[in-house]
Amino acid sequence: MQVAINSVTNVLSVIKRINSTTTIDGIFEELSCFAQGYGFDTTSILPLLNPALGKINIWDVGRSNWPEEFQKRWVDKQYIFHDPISRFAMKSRSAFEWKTAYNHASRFGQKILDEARDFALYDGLAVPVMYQNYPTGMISLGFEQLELSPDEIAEIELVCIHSYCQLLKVSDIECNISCETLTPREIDVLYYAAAGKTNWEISSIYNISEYSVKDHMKNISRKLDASNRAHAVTLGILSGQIIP
Amino acid sequence: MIEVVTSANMALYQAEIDDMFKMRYRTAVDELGWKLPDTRNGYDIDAYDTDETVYFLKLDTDRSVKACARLNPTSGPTLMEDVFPEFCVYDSIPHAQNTYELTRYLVEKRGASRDEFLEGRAHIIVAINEYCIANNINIISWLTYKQNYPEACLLWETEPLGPAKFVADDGAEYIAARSQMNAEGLARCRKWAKAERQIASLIVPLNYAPPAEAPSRAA
Repeated sequence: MQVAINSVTNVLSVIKRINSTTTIDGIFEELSCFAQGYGFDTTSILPLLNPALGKINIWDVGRSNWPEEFQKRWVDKQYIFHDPISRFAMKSRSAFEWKTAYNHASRFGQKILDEARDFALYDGLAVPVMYQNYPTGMISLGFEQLELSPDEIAEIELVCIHSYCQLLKVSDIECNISCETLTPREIDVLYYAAAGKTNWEISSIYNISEYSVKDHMKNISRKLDASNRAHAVTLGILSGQIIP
Repeated sequence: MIEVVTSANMALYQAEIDDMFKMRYRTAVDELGWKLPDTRNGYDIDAYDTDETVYFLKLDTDRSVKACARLNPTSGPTLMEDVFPEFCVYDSIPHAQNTYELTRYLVEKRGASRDEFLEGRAHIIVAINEYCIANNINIISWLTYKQNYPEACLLWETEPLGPAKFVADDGAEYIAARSQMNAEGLARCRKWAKAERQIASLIVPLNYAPPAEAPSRAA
């Protein structure tokens, strides 16, 4: 087991270097060097955004130094949809160990982490990065065996937060999906659509015609570039116009 | 617009400042559960509300305060030094002529839609940045909830003063930090707030007299 060697001065100087780095690869290199100093073997930095939405390619922005074969498998088999670390990061507001996510994972999720073990990805620490109260990205640091004090975890979290924020700055991607702003009435309608109400039910709630609700839904879909009702609800949430 | 209130124009804002003290109590004590020592009768006024304090107020159409913040020069007493010194582990507690402390950055949730709430938050931040640039304040120091820290990092060049720590009062984690106030940060803040023009209402103080001779542009 490697003993953590990072000092206070090191944390600040790493953050300063990360803040002045202008490429995604440069940020990833700084972050992985810092992580190695703590005894971590692998590093990954990933946006937490449904790749099926097609808004960004995760690997245009994300980076990892996982074993090549595992990364290929993770991409080809679309493990991001079920990866227990990403899923737990969506619920967690603080750093957590992979084994915590394993304990909360579905059987398929556990299978993914079992497969990871075959590639020497035994355990690790994941740091979700919040933006306006929602997780927007995650840094995951792998280790075989490591004991970290709460102070060390707090330092690692800070470096991870700065790395992800700098990554967002240099890649110029939006944390939220950007789209046209909905009117207050459209937001009302979308909230009820998100709650599973039909157009007829929404029209009764607001005492308007079903035709008007249909018209609102059509405008909502156009503004959000959504192809159906469920898609509109998802994009409404992601663009921060309605809360889940 | 965000009203900027200093001792120079305080006389124009007596009612609004009074409402701000009440709003601060409702938000900080009632909503957020902060344990503040100096609050009484529904007012939150403390030792850091001084003649040197600069207030930022977001007013509703009836001039009630919906969001606020205050800046204090770090050349005088600061909350960071007096109450939260243990948060400054990586560096000394900020004290400098061009450094101000940001505190009581609060937005009232009661009666506000999510959009109004977010707009209140964003406009106060833009106004602070505008005021700092106009007044040669290069750095602000502040203590914030850990979950809000990434937002500050995205807007401003920000450095932590120490790792996140729990505050027992409300069971939340906080981080102390300092942020650079400059034009690049302001541009990012304005983009974030969807503000195309100036947000801060920088009123010329009543006792202001223009210089006898304006400096020439060529100089």
